[in-house]
Amino acid sequence: MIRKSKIVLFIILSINILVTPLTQAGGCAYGSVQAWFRTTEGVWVNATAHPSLHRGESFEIKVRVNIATDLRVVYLKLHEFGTPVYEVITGPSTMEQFLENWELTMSNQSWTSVWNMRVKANTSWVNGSSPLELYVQFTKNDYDDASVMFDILNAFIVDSLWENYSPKPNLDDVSLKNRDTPRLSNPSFIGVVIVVFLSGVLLWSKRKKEK
Amino acid sequence: MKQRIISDQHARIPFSLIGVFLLLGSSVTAVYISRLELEKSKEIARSLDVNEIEDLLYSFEADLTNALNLAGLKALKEIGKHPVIQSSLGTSGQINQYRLKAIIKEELNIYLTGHFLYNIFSDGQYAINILLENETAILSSKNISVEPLVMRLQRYSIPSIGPLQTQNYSTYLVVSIPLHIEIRQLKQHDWVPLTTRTIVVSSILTSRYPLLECLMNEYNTSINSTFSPFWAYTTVLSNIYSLYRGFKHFRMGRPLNVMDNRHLSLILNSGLLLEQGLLFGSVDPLGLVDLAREIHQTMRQLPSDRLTTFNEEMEGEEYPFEAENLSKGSANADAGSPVNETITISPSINLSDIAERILYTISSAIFHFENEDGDVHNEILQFEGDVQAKVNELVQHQANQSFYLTSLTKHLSTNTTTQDRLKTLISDLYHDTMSTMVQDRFVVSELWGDPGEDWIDGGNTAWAPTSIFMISSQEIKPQKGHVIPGCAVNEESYNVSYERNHSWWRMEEQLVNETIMSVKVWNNTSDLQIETVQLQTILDHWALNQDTQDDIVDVLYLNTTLDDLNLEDTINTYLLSYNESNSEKQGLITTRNNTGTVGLISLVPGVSPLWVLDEAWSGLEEIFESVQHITLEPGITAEQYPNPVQLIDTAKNDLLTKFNQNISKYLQFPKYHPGALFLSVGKKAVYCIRDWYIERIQNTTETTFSEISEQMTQSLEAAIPTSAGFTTQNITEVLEDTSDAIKNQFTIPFGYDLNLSRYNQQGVLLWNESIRLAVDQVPNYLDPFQKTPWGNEELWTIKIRNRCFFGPTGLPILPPSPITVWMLTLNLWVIDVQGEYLQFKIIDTSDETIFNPLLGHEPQTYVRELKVITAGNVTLGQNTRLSFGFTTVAFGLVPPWGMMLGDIQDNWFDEHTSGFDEG
Repeated sequence: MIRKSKIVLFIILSINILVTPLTQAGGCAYGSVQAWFRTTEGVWVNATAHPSLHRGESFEIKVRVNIATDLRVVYLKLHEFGTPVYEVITGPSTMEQFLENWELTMSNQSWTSVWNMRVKANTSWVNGSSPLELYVQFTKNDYDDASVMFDILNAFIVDSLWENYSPKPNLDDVSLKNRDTPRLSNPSFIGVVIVVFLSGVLLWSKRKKEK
Repeated sequence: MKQRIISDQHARIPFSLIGVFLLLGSSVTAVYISRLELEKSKEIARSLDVNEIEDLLYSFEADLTNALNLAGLKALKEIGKHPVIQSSLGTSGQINQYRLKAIIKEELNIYLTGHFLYNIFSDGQYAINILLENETAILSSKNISVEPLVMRLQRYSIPSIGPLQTQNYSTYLVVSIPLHIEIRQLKQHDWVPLTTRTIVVSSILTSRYPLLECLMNEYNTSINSTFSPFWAYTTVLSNIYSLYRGFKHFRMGRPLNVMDNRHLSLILNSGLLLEQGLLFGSVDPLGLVDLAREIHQTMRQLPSDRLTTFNEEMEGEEYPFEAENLSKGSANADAGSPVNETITISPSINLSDIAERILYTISSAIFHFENEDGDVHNEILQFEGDVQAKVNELVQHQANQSFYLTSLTKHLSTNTTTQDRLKTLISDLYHDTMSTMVQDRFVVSELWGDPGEDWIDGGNTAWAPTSIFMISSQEIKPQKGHVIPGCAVNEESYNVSYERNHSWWRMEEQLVNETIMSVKVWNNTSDLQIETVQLQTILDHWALNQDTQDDIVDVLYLNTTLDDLNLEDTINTYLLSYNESNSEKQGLITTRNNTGTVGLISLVPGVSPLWVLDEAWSGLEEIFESVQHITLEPGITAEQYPNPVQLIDTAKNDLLTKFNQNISKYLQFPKYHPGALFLSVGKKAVYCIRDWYIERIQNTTETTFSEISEQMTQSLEAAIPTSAGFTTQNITEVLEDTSDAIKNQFTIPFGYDLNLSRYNQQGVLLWNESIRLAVDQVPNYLDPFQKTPWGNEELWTIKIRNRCFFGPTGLPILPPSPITVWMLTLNLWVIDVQGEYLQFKIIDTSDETIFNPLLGHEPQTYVRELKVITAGNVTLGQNTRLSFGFTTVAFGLVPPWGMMLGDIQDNWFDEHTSGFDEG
């Protein structure tokens, strides 16, 4: 029985390790933030990543926000300075747009968001590096907040078009028509699946133990 | 009747009745007076009550004004810490004013309901109460009005790179609120309402938040985008920097990387602090400390020296920042020379190359390379084909092997084009113009054919020449000293034979068809005539060159001393070319009645002696030698004339002026023309060739310098990206206008008072005050090579990219070829700067109005950072970081034939901040 529990624990830990890579989170009094980066065929790497990316090359970033105390709202923003280099293809927000979360704000809650992004095909900032910053603000009330900010990646932009580049529309273009601040109200589908799966495994192991 | 009326006693009134009337009248008067007195006394009493109420109202207003100010200060303190800069709900001004009004409304409502209800505010006699509407004193913040109060700010500034010295700013806010009040009269435990009023309470909010906001916005404008003061500063300083380092690179081969991002970051940080100092009258002291530290680290000073210098420089009220130290000092330090060593940044423009290229072409050159160990490597390059590409390839190849060009030896060969030109010039001089004039002609004999007897003259044909026979030819040129244009130099006589048909007729009886008839019979004979024609050969002109001719001593006479035929041979040449077999001459001779006619005009070449070309060439070399001594005025340097186009123009004018002053020396006219005439045709040819060479140098100088200017302008235009937002003219103008301001040294003030003055509409001064600001920036030093720590994380805050436009070899102006002149080597660096402050805060240190329970007071601040501002469940907007970004161009200009001008490193085409790769 003990052996089975150990196996279950091992499986859970393994899944945790696979699903949630180790990362150095940015933290503050009201919460913490973890972020990962991966290219289309790569594996998730911790922020801050330092890849070389071609113009038009796609990549993904994943952000996990952990809340340490009851809050009113959490804001999240992808930010860069200077010549625009990055654009969002799909994701809950565009570059420089605040993503608001008014619902998942209770203590110990967390949520994960994924952005499918790419380097702008026509960016003029090439043969140089360009950081992509993540800014998260944990707001308790109008006069009390804390924030976390760090660079998710700082990519060297190679001055050649990515071989798999296709000029599909990006979210920045689409959202020009509707610039309302996006709100995050539900956990992501992946998060739900993971939570349900882990809960199932735990229940199963508990029942087994009871038997 | 009269008597009756006077003495009539029917209307007699008893005295007692009069007395009664008198008593009644006095009583009424007394009552009336007492009533008046009562009314007067009541009036006096009423006025005393009114004064009491007024006093109470004054106290009420004073109290409210103070409360309003405190509420406003609290609001501005909060807004200053978290101003909304971007919002989807309205403009930032609207949102921040809304916040101000909302906080004032909230604070004042609490104060009003706490202090001005239930007769709390009273003097024992009267009370003032606020009238509530929906249980609120101030129903809507819309009722609150806010007006700015403008003051004039005076500060020290530097033209072009600083703000305006005197400028009006919104300094304070005046807030007004209409309030409904009720005045009550208190009567022990009861009260009666006296009146209700609406009063407007106004107050100047004693926080200089608007000024801080204006100054922050102005600072953002002054550091961001093209044409901003910070752009002008960076442009000028980076150009001075690249000039110094370019010349050091040219002379010493070091520094290899002319435009170094480490130094660019110093320029940028010093510029940011300078703009702060000029605009706010203060800088972030930690920013200054970090800048000083970075400068000394980058200048490679010894730690002990660094500390001493640092301490010395940080004393006093300002920090002296030496542009020369950054440019000259860094160039020396990177070249391994003493930091204070003088660098001559004269472009060494002269006329030598122009004068030399006319005489000689470069056939080949030996390029001398040297590596850091002192090993020497020489490469010979034939100047054929695309020389520029060959030079670039060679220098780059050697640079890849760590060998750098130190000098160059040219192999020259005579310019054959010039040689041919000289021969043509000599040949042209050795010509004269001759012609032939028919002097006289007369018939010497005429013999008619004999037809016999009885023939009647029936007419004749015209005389036809049948033969020409020269009977004499004699040279008749004038004696020496008498040869003048139009003189006869030879005389010829010809006998010309003519023949014609002569017809004769007579009538004869002849048998025709067996009938005797009278028939006209013709008889032809030939007549002969001989005519003598005298011709003279005329010398029209000789030794023509441009506008001069006929100016040779004893032309047509051999000058034995000078070994110069002096066109003497041209008479024979002419006569030979126009002998009697010449059809044109025959025509002239045989044309009847043409005495005085001139024909056979011809340019006759003479033979030039060989020494003419040799002497002419020697003369040109002599001039070339003299021209080499013409040097540019020492003051004409790239530093004095930072606009390269202006530098070239000034240099050209200086060189040509000096050249023109020596023209007589170069020509040596008396040597060839001692008297009224040239000594010989050959001497004139030598002189004319010298004149041609001088003119050629002048024209080539004009053309070359014009092409240099044009090429430089085109290169600058090509280097400036289309998105940069400025033109070549903008760059050159800012270099001209701004260079003086920051040429040698400027100081960054630690902090000084700014003067504020308030004037009324008529311009009368109302009051003065001073303000001292403090600046706090994060990061203290915007480091492109290191992340900036921020809380537990680190962020990049600045990106610098400089692209060496023409590569390691630069752009030779004009491109070297065997026959073109190489005057300068140009290179351009396109610099991109993009950055942001994580936090930028300005503090009104002279403000003591905001209450703080611990410190007594706290200053008004204005902060720019990334933050979302909320009001309850509404996202009002966001505060944003101060950011800046622009592109500019710096150029380097060095003399030719030395170390090429360019960044010799792998990423010369794109040197971004290396720290970004390190992670």
